[in-house]
Amino acid sequence: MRKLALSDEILLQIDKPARYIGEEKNSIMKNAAEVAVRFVMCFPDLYEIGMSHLGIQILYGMFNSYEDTWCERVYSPGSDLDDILRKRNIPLFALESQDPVKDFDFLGITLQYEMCYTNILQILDLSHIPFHADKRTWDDPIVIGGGPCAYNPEPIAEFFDLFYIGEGETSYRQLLDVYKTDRANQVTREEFLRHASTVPGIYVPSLYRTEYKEDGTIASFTPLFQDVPKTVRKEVVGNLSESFYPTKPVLPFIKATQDRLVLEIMRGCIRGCRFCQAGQLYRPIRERNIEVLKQYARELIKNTGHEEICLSSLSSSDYSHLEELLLFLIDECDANKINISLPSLRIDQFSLDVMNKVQDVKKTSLTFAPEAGSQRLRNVINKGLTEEDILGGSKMAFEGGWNKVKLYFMLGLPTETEEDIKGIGKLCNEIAKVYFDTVPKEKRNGQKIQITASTSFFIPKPFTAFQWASMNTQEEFREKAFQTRCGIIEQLNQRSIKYNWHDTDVSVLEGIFARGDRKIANVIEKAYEKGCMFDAWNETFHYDKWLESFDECGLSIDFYTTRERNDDEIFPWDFIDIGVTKAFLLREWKNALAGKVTANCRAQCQGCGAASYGVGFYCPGGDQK
Amino acid sequence: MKLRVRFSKFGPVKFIGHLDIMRFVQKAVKAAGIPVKYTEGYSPHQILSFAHPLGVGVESESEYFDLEVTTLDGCEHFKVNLNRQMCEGMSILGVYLLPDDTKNAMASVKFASYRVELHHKDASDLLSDAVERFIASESVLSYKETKTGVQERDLKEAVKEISYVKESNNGEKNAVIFTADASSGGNLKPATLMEALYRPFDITFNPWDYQIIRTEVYKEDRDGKPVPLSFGLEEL
Repeated sequence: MRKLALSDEILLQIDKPARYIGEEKNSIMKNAAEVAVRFVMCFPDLYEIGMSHLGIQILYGMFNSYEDTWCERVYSPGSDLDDILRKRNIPLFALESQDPVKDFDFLGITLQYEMCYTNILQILDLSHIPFHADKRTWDDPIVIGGGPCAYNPEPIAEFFDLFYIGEGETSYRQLLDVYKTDRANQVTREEFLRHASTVPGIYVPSLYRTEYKEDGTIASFTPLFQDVPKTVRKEVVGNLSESFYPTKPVLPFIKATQDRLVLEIMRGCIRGCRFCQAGQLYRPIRERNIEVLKQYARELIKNTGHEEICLSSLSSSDYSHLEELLLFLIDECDANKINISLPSLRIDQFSLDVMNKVQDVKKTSLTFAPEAGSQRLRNVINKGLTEEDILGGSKMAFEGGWNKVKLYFMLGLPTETEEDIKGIGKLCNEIAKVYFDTVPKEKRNGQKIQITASTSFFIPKPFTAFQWASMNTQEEFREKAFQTRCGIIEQLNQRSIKYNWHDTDVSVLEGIFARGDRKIANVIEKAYEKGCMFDAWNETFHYDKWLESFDECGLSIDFYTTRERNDDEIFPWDFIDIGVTKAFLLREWKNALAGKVTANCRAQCQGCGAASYGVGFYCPGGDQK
Repeated sequence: MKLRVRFSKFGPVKFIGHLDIMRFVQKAVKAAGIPVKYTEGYSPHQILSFAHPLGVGVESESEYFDLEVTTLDGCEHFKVNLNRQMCEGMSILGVYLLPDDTKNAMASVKFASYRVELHHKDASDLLSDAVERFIASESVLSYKETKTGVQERDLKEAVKEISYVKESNNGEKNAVIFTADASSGGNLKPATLMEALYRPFDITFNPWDYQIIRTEVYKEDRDGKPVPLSFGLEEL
């Protein structure tokens, strides 16, 4: 029987001990003595959050399919266990072997959202690994980051030996081989990092130097050595139908936040919304073959006994065989007594039919994401959804018996005016009107129309057309949320409309990290020392400590948030090549300011640059068509 | 058709709570390809029920759940197939046919037996004293705070048998062994008995001062005698 890292005494005192014992179905045990590389994959948040993430399941399965590698997992311990580990000096351990993280060859940390940055320090701290990469020796694992936030790795660059830029399926094998060879040849850690910098997609922060101008912006960003590449090109899977897919995912004992099987149907998005980072990062669009997906679905169901399955992609309605896939799943799931959790689909007759079949009588709500209240502003952000789409879709749904509508908006978008904000209330009111006009009183069965409008605050992200844009201040955000509320209250049908908005503190910090540079690392370290951790969780977020930390480091928050960037500014992330060019993004930024709409990839190629990968579904010269 | 399944739970999985074990077993049954029957309606679920919940940290040599299957075809290798879906520390020990008129597992439970291995030095030294004193007492009262006030219970009535084992060469640890009421109305928690046994010696416990192992779950036979839940059933 496996020996646990924690005693019964500890496990019986902490919340959800099942988070820390491993042993989940489909988790992989190997003999540590028989593998050459030990990799521990970390999601720097609680187990239930981390276990909901598909990316780790992919890499975990892929690494463990290599005979010479054993990949394990570790998550952020809850604060109760965190206290105990510190007090008793127990090193953080991996779930499978229960061995200390420090003893591994690699510690891989996935960076899914900016607000997990202090948790990275928690993981390093509890593992007894130095925070700064330049203080590490061969006694420490190689710390490697990946995931969406690795596309601007600079704020956390000092804490990492390596970053993997792009999709993990392609380059890891080569990296592990370089590592094996170098360790066998007993090279220094620095030499290994140098070799790693030539592996496609690998960025080694310690091999670059940033020079700043007097105004704090970047003057130059250059490699220290000739053989270190000037730019790091994003890795992309060429053929999704042939890449590794985890059809035997690890099944947590305790309920994960997203407790369902995941079928990833495609990567990339044709839509080109100008605020959306994922829409640019994951270009070009690639689809998984439908027959392959059917096979995966069957295997997933068989290998897990799970009771729920969902589709994953940025815009499932755009999958070219969606209808066939959903009809197949409905049959398959019906036969196996499995629920399908539908992705948010564009509302049309087909999607309503599907929702009807899947959800039966308990009708859930319809979801629209207009993102902006007026057509003018929707053109600015290039959100193709029109008022006719929303009202037409709502009418169809009301006729089908739905009576709940959820709407998502953003406040603080570039060029936004009071008129645009008022448009949110007006649009909600129009939807209510459609309901009252469509459904006669006797057919309402005592039910009411419920419209929920939610707003979030717009945060400019790297590799979007809005990377040059100014972010609103907290005061502006609050004022806009107030205006939104007023705009709703003055509507005739205001009793049918509910308004939700979130607080602004976290948005400010997310804005800083998203477009931050290397100078931010000090602030993160300082805030961590002051006790900041789990910043993504409201109850553990301490904005005052962050403000203090910025003060003590002498950094201005406005420099990172509200400052509008010049067209020719060198951004901290400019050395990364995601295929989509800066020239294209700048053109889109100008189009946005002019209120000009750009057609989607399927309608017409806009020459964004992602076609250079040669594999895009809709790209000229793409080989998947 | 109804089946009763007997299983054991040891080691790290003892930290998995009852509800999570239920979800685990449901997935395992499904993945094993067992033709389990589902309820009718819009959110069908497996007709599967556990005999008695096991607390977090408690191990067991003998647990039970009942389930209904639509057919016995495909159940030939039930035990082997389901064992393949288990994790380390959980084993399917037996599968039994249940007559259709059998009460569900939970309603049939009358008693459960336990072995409580002591890790607590003082309690260990006083083991024989504590148990013999309990046996010799006319009544041993325990008090439980409830919403309506303090509830008093005589543990002598709840405990059917009690004895102890001293540390032996074959690896047995100092332990209290007892059989007690486990019916839905009168279930006695092992911790309650342990507190009562050592109250005269002024010893109180933390949950990690001993390891509780459930050794069997019982129903009553026609004469009111405790027999294991699988007693008299035909093995599949």
